[in-house]
Parts: sequence; structure tokens; C-alpha cells
Amino acid sequence: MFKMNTGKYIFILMLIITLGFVAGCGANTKKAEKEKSLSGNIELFVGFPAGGSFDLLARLLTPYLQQNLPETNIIVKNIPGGDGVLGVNELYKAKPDGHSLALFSLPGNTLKQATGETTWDLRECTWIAQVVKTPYLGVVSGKSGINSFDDLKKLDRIRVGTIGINSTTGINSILVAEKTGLNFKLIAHQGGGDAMLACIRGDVDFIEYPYATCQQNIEQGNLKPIVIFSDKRMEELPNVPTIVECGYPDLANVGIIYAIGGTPGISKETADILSEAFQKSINNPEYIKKMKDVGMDVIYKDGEGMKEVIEQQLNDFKDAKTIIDKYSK
Amino acid sequence: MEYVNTLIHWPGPFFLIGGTIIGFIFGILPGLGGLQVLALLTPLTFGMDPQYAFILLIGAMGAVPAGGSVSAILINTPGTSQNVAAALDGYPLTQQGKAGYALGASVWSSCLGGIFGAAILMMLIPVTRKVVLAFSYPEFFMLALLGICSISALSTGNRWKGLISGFLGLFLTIIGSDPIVGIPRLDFGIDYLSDGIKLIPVVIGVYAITEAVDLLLKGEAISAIKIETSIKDIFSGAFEILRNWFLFIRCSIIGVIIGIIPGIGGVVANFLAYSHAVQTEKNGKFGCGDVRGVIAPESAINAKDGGALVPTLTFGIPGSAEMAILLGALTIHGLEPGPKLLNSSILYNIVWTLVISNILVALLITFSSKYLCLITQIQVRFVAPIIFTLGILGAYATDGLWEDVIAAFIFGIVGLAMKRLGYSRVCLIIALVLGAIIEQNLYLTLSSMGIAGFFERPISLGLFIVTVLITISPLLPKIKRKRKCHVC
Repeated sequence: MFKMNTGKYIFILMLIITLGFVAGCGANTKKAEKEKSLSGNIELFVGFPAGGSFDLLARLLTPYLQQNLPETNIIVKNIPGGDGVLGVNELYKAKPDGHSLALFSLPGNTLKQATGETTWDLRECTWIAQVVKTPYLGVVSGKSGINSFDDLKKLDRIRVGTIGINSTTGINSILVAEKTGLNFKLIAHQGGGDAMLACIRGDVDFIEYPYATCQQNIEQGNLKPIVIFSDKRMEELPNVPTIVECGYPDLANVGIIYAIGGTPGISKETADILSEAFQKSINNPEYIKKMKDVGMDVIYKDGEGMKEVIEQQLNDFKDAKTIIDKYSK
Repeated sequence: MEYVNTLIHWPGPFFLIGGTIIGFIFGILPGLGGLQVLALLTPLTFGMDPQYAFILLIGAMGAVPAGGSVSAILINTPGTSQNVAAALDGYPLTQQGKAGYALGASVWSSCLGGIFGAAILMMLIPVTRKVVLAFSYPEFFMLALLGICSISALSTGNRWKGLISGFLGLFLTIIGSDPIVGIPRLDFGIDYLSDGIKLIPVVIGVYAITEAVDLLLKGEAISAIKIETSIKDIFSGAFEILRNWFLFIRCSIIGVIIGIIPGIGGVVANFLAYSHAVQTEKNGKFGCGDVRGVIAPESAINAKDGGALVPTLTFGIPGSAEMAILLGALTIHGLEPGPKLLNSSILYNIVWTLVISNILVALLITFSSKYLCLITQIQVRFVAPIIFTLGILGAYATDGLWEDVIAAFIFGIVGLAMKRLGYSRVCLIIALVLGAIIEQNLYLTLSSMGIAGFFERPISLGLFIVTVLITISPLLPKIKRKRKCHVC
């Protein structure tokens, strides 16, 4: 088959070397280490590609974590796919030694569990901290005639731009539709930028996103904010009413949460060390300012608080599969 | 002027040249490209002066496409997925002993295309908003449909085999998550497939691995003709751009337009430009080593970067995956991407860096071409294992997943079978890229505008008419079409 034996042998040798090299690269180095209490590598799995806000949050946090965990080496590892699911999958496969953590996007991850798409249970996760909680801002096109939430309610059918339907933006829009009784037609896009452009063009009537995502376009008049899904008005947009003022207090928590969790079964001692380090890092004024500069609001909550959030969300989403089917048609 | 001083005075040149070289290396290695080089370099820029951070990042990003073309032309292994079309005529030229000529046409088309794209960007600043907003779901759908219909133009030999390859590519796009609801389909319960078949492992498989194994089976060097490549050969190829200046301009415009449209990407620009050349140029021997088949896609690739900056800077919405990472880097360094940037000196900084990076990498390739082309003379028992190894490493380097390596192996076998049986690999790639865009935008158009949306909008209607004409042109007896003689 091969005209030259030399070629065959070189080929096989290169194949062995390559596979060995790749295996070595992929080896979990912490398996070779003794299980010390938080020294060595700590991998922080990020379930979205490098460059986005999710990834940015992790990378901005890393230097402060290093200060508070000086004997460790924090490695941010991007594992994109499945709308954040693959990153969590990787976490649940890891050893519960505190050397593997993941950044969770909620309620997206919770929704995936509620619709039966995952093998893991977020209730079993070792929750460390909430990092960011950002309310969604309801915006319409700058050129539309809609100036308030009441104006929006007058439309017979409201085209709502989302990123997928079985996702954070999708489920939040569904929640709004269910609680307000508005006739939402969800129009799923591949990414937030696509949905935002669609709103600017007027191809969709309404989108819900964090203020930071829309800020520049609001300032330029391309988009117009009409409601904030929170119980208090934003400093940056004092004239935009809250959803509570619009008569829907149940929707005051529509937004996105970024939280840190570890593998199920981490010892209490290790979890406490991690919790303390994250608390100090997240509450570092310098970190909070940097996050504010990139449009993310740091709101710390401890692991126990996160457990309550998860329970609440899973309870809210117990009929999610049926509801999503309804809005998928 | 201040920025020019930054580029001229140390350490500006260090970052510019360093970024260009790093980008070139990433481009030339299969599986690595703009995404990976930006992801790798961005954390390194933390703490740097923002000016130098941009020089490094943009310099690297600008050099990647040219690097990818080198491997596409010399070893029929595109360095990035947007260099696939360059191999269609570039590699046959290499096999004919004209590697230097092909590289010259490629690298200087790429360089001049990049400058053209930057110039168009500056001209479009007053109207960027209108241009970006003119394209919506129907236009995206029609562009993707136009690309799919170009399969008939790119099919070599038996046209039906090209269509079969295209249908295989479309079928592969079904695997993964439903783009509307996000529910998995045809993923066989495998997590890796939840996001569908990834493009990079497929390209590595059907090109790098297929070519490596095929070379070993044949046992010959890439070029049977021994030649000495000189700078004269490079400029001989570059001169062809002047002889085909109108084609160059048209294809650069295609690249800019595709770059402006978020989510379409450089791969589409590549194919559309090549297809356009095949459709419009007379007496073509495309697929057999026609230099116009190198000029066309290469003009579009770098021109696309200028276009991709338009939505990125106008709305803060990335025009490509690389722009998404660049946006993140800009944010980290305290800049707010969006309309404010259009009126700032930062825009000029970005444009100048892109232009100079393109020129630098063109000079780099020009003066190192003699050594680069030696690859084609090396005995296959040495070069094939290296290509194979680089392909495997590139597949793993994409996301650090073993599964990508396995996927590359599988598609290596598929690619080898396709090559031996005369099925077009490039048609598979086109359909894989465009299938998802077609499905998504068909749904979006019907959901928000109804079927009338395709025909009430002038750009969409125009693209539809062009698509119909391209599709039926092979059936029109008066239109003579040259049959290509090389299976791509």
C-alpha cells in the first residue's frame, strides 16, 4: 500500500507522537498532584466562547482570585456549546476536590435541567457565590411609535426578539407573556447582536436585554427603553418605569444571573475556603468598578443564597417544557 | 499623525511586526485562525497601553488570511476555512510548478483587497447605518441561497456529484440543536453534537488529513516539476491583478458587502467571489490552475475585514466571530465599541494598522517564498506526516476537545472517499456553512414578515433574480460553459 516503508514508519511514529502529545495536553494535571487544600491549578469552566461578557467576567475576576488564593493557579477554560451546557457537563465529570469550578448562566442552565435536556441536577452543585445579577431592560425600536409599556400592550401581536426559545432570553420573554397576558410571538435569533439589530430595523417589536448591551444604541436613539424589570429605577435611566410600577410585581426578577459553582460533593472545608476567596474577590472595589465599566452589576450572594435561587427557579420552571412547546409554534 | 508616530517609534513596530508574524503563523497552521490568535493574545494585552494592545491584536488578525492561503496553495490544506476557495486553482498551479506565481497573485490580492476594504470603510462612515440596516432576514436568506446555487458553478466534472456533495453538507447542518427552539435533533444523545457539526474539524478532515493520506498513497512530491521560485515569480503573479483589475475590484466589493452583513462570514465571501469569477470571466479554466480563481477569493477575504468593522463600530454588534473577540478586547481596554468610535481617532488607528499589517505579511511572504515553496519539493514521506500531525493538533486546538480530533479523522475518511470518487469537497463545505443560515433566515422571514418579505424588498428581490439566472444558466444553450478539469 505504501510505496516506501520509511514513509509508513514515519507516518506511524508521527501519529503516535501526536496522540501522545494531545493526550498529555488534555490530561488533568491535578490528578498527578496530591490532594492539597487549594494549591495547584484551579480550572474555571466558562460555557461560552472567549470574548463575550460571560468570558469577560471570568477573566476580570481571575487576578483578584489569585490574590485571595495565592497558592493556586486559576485557569479559565472556555468550553462553548449547548448554550452553556457543555461547560457544566465538564464540571460534573470532575473530581469534587475544589479544583474545578464553573461559571453558570441562570436561568438558562436551570431551564435546560427543567426541560430534561441535562443529566445533572443543579441542586447537587456546590454553590460558591453569585457574581452578577442584572435586570433586563425592555426596549423597542427608536423609530417605532411605542413610547411606553402601555403602548406596547395595545398591539394585537407583539414580535419579541430572543436568542433561541429554550434559553435565558426565551424563558424570560415567556414569563413576561404569561404574567401579562400579552400576545407574544417569539422570534428566535442566533445571537444577541442579531436580535438587537432586528429591533433597530423594526423587524421585531420588543426585546429584553441588559442595559449594558443596549446602552450605546439607546444613547444614539436606535433603541428606546420602555420598562426595567426590577423593583427600582435605574440611575442611568431615571425616566424609565419599573415593571412593578406598570402593575406586574411578579416580574421584578426577570434578568440574568451569573454564579460560580463547584462539583457536587466538595468538602465543607474546601467549599468554605473557596467561598471566602470569592467573597473577597467579588466585593473588591476595584473589581466592582471594572465590571461597572463594562456594564455588569456585581451583586454578591453566598452559596446558601444561590441554593434558594436555584430552588425557586426550578419551581418556576416545572411546567417549562409544556409552555415552551406552546411558544414554539 | 500621532498614531503614525506610535507605529513608527518603538515599541510600536515591535508589536506590529510581532502581531503580524504571529497572525501569519496561526493562519498557516490548519485549524488555527483569527479566533484562536485573538483569544490567545487578548489576555496578554491586559495591562498594556491600549494603543499597543490594538496594534498587536489587529496586526495579528490582519495577517491570518494570507497565512491560510499559503498552506491552501502549497499543500491543498486551507489554513482557515475562509481559504478553501484559494486551493481550487492555487494548488493546481503549484502542481504545475507555478507555486511562486500562485502565491504572488494570492498574497498581493489579499493585501490590496484589505486596503480596498479599509478605503471602503472610510467612505461608508457617513452612511454606515443605512447600509447595515438595509439588510435583513430576506437578504441574508437570498445571499445564502445564492451561495448554495453557486455549487452548480463550482462542481467539477459530473455536476450531479457536486449537488450530491451539497446535499450531504445540507444534511449535516440538521445535526445539532434546532436553531429556533434549541431542542437537540439527530444528536444521538452525544453532548458534542448538541451544537451541530463544527466547520473546522470538517475542513481539517476533508483537506489536511485527506491530502496527507492521499499524498502517501501516491508517493510523489506535491510538485513533480522542480523549479526555483524567485521574487520575479511572485511579482509575475501579482501583475495578474493589474491585468484583471476589474475582477479584483468586483470581488473586493463582494468581500466588503459580505463583511458588512453580520453573521455571514468570510467563508461565504470566499465562495461567492470565486463563483462570481467562474460565472463572469471568459475562457476560464477554473479548477485547472486559472490565476483568476486565486485573485477572486483572495481579494474578497481581506476586504471582508474592512466591511466587518462597519456593524461592529456602528452598532457595537460584531460583524464576524473575530470582531466579537476584538469587541471584548476593546471593552477591556476601556473603549466602548459603537457609534462613538466612528468619530474617534481609534477608528483611524484600527484602519491604519490593518493596512500596514496586510502590507507587512505580503512582504513577508514575498521575500520568504523561495523557502516556503520548497515544501512542494520535499519527499512525501516527510511532508505528509507533518501535514497530518498539524491537522490533528489544529483540530484539538480549536476547543481543546478530543471529539474534534475524532470528527477530523472521520471526515478525513469521508474526504478521501470523496476525492477518489470524484465528489466535490468544496461543495460539501459550502452547504455546511450556508445550510444553517438558510434555515434560520427562512424561519425568521416567515415569522416576522411572511413570504411576501422575500419579494417586497428590492435587495432581496434582486438577489432572487440573480440566483434564478445563475441556476438556469447552465441550461441555456447560448451560454457556453467551460467544463473544469480538476476535481476539487
